[in-house]
Amino acid sequence: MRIPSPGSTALAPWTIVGSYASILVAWIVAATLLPSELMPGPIETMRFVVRQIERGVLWMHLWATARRVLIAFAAGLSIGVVVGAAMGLSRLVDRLLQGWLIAGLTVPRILLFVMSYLIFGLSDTAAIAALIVTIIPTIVVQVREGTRAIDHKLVEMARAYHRPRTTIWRQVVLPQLMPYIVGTARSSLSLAWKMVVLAELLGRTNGVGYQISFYFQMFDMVGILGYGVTMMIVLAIVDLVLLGRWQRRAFRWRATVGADA
Amino acid sequence: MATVVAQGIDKRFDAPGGGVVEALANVDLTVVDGEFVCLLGPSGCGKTTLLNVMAGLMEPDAGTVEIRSGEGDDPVVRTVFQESRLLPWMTVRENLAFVLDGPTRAKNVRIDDWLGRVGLAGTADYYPRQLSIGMQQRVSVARGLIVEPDVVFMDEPFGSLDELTAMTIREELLTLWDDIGCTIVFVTHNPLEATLLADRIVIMGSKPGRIVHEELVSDQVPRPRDADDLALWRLARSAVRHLELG
Repeated sequence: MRIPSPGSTALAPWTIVGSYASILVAWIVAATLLPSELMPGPIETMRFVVRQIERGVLWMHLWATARRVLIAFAAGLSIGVVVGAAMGLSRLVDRLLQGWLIAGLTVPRILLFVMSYLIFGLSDTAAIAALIVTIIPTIVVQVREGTRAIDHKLVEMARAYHRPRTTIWRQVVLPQLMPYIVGTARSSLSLAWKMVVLAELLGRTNGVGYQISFYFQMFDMVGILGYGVTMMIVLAIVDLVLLGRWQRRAFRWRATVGADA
Repeated sequence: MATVVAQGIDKRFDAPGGGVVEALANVDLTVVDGEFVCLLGPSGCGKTTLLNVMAGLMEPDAGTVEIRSGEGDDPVVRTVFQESRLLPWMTVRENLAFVLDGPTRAKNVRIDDWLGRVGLAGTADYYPRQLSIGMQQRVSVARGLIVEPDVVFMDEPFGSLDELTAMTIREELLTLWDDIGCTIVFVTHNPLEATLLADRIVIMGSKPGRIVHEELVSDQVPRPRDADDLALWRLARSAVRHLELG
């Protein structure tokens, strides 16, 4: 079996454009086959989105949602990295937190949101707290794996050269964890982005999830699709542009293979 | 400028599957100021363990290691490992800067000077993966010597290189050692490498790891040495006989 080497053959740019275009085509086909109140087409949906933008409500709801996601993401990632690293480094910590980790991974997410709303009341705090708890376990698992895979020979080298502890953490350990952190950041951001809609649908009075539940009660498919699609586009941009760029930067030393010395 | 004195070193490891391996049993070794000593022995004779203990990377179960500096201040000790152990996400320049302290400008002047001395001028912005194994090991040697240490411990640094590359780097190492005037303890399993490099060869045997013989090369073959010198070959043959006896 031949293992293809990455980047050895340049693929035409239309392949990726075609991938996105096929979604649009499928949507158009579905819209022509189904009655328009069940499946409005892309143009009709975009008209709705433009109207919402003109009224200023789309940005307001989108921002309310994004704000919750960003706060939960930042807090969850920080806590998850620290806990994951601690579990990877110490067998004691690993054993002590084992039960919490399994519980966190298996708990139905909806339970977290319902409990959080009952405990904290129907507030942003409750939604964000539940979101944080939702994303932490997967981050912990990834970072723990990364910590276990650390090349201790490099750490030994840095110690032998009397580098300060903080330098070893920042310049020897962290770069080895970066692939795991960036990877889990992308997946947990998209998880938070999906779960926030559920949180808003259950107990908030603004945000994309609230708008979707509002239009659901009105049986208005254009509204539901308008908000849903806008949210997908925003996440895709954040993921590809921001996190993708971060990932490329973090691994630029890997991308240089093949250049001859 | 420093002397390394190891006395009564014991080191045991738990053997896989139970039992204990006596890696080192009551080893005494003194390496005097500016001396180049090679630890020669078969795999598993404890030569790397002895090096790690002397370098302070490993605690012995018994015995003491003392590194005395002539000037009274703390001697600077460096280790060059078997693998280059360069940080792959840093360029050559960043890898060397990583072990230096002080202002960036002074660091860079020093790095450029040292890259020239190990034959790597112009590679400062390369990542380790873009270099051959031999060039990576040259960077690793430069990283060990760039602070001009008093003592350098080297653990088979040229063991994974092809012989042609190793030959050149050995010559370069001798030149650098001469320039800096440091004490070097060098682990190898290659008798010819040991005879070419060392003032004194310390031959080790296994089970338990101990010193079985010492050969004073500097008495028999003066420097500068020629790798093709028959006297070196004879010495290497004699060392091999001790290896077999040990």
